Amino acid sequence: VIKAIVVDDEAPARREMRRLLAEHERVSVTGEARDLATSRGLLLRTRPDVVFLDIRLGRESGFDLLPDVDEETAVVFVTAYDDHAVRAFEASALDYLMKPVESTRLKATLKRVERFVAAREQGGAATRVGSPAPFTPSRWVFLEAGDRPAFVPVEAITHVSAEKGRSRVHVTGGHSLPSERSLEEWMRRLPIEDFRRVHRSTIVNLRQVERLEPWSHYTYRIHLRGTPEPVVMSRRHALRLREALG
Amino acid sequence: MQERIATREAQVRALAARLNPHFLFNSLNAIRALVAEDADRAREMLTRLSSFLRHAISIDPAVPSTLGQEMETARAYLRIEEARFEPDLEVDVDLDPDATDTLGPPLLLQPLVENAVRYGAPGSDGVLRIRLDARMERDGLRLELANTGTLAERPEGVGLGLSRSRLRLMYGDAQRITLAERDGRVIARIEIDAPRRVPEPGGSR
Repeated sequence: VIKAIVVDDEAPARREMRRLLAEHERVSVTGEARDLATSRGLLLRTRPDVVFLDIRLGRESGFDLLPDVDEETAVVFVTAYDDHAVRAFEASALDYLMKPVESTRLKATLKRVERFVAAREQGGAATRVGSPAPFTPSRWVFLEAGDRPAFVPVEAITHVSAEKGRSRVHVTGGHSLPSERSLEEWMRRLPIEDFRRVHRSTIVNLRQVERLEPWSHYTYRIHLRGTPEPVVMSRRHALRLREALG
Repeated sequence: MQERIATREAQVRALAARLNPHFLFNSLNAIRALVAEDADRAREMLTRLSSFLRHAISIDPAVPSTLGQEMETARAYLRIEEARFEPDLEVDVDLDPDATDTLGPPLLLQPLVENAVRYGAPGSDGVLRIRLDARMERDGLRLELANTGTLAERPEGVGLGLSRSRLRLMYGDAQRITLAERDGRVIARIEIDAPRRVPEPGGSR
C-alpha cells in the first residue's frame, strides 16, 4: 500500500484529490494539510511514501516544505498553472501534475511512486544482504543514457544531481551527462569516503569541493572545482555530515 | 503627452492583470470537486465564473463602466473565492441602488478585491471576512472594502498604485483611495466627490 498525504490550501481541491486517489486500491491517504506547519507534523507522524504538494498555499510556498521531506518520501507537485518556479524545483520532485488532475495522468504518477517505493525497499534489503561492490576512485563508469555515451573516471565526478527519478552526472570541466540511475543507486555505488549526500537531490564529491559558503537558514553553498554554479547543502544534511565527519 | 503615456500604461497593465491563470484553473478544479458533491453549487459556480470572465474578457480599459457592473463582477469573483476557500472565507456584498449607474474605470476594484483575499487574515473566529459596500452619500460615492487582518501583513501599497492612477485620470483630484486599519480590519476606501453617471436615455434635453 502506498501511503499518501495531500497538501493544498483549498478544501474542495483536497477532496477532489482524495476522490481521484480513492480510485486506486493500493493508495491510502493518511492525512491532509492546508499549511506548512500541519504538513510538517503529518510528515513526522505518518511517514508517507508520497506527498501531493500544492505550490501556492496562501502566503506560504510549498517549496518551503522540501527541506522537511526526507529521502524516503517522494514529492509530487500539484499546481494550477505551469509557472517557471515549478521548473526550477523540478529536480526535487518525482513528478508534477496540473490541476484539474487527469486520472490517466495520475495513474502514470502512481506507477512512478511504486517504482520509487520498490527501489527504496530493494535498496534497504541490498545493504543488508550485500550490495554491488562500490566503485573505487580508479574505476570508470560507463554512462550510456545520453546521445553521447562516455567512460568517465569516478574521481572526475564533481557531483550527481537528481532528475525526475533519474540523475545527471557532472564531471570536472563543467559538463554533465544523464544517467538512468537514481541518486539512491549512486549512493550505494560511489565510494563513501569521497561521495556524500548534501541535499535530497544532490551528491557531492568532497575531493572536488573548492569552498563552502554559509547561506541562509543554516544551509551552505558548495563551490565545486570548475563548476560555475554552486550547489546547496541543506540544513538537515549539514547536521548529518557534522555527526559523521565532525 | 506624459499623461497619455500614463493612461496607456495603466490600460495595458489593467488588461494584463484581469486574468490570473492560477485563479482560473483553481476555480475550474473547485468546480470539478463540486460536480461530484453538489451539482447545484457546481452550476452556480459555473455561472459566477462565466459572469466574471465575460466582463474581464470584454472590457475596454479606456471605456468607463458602471458601478453596478463592477460590483457584479467583484461579487462573482468573491463568491468563487468563497467556494474555493470554504469554510475559511465569508463574503458580503452590498450596493446602494442609487450608486448603480455611477461611472468609473473598469475593473478598478479587481486588484483591491484580490488583495483582500490574498492578504486578509482570519478573525478571532477563524474566518476571513470580506465586506464590500458602496453607497451614495451627501458628499458623493463612498465605497468600502474591508477584510479581517492587519496592514502589517500587507506589503506597502500593493496594487493601490495602479488603481490610484487610473481613478486620477478619470476624476483628477476629486477622488481618493485610502487604506487604513481599524478594529482588526483593513479597510480600502474609494471616495468620488461627484461621480459621473450613465446619461439618461434620450440624451440631454
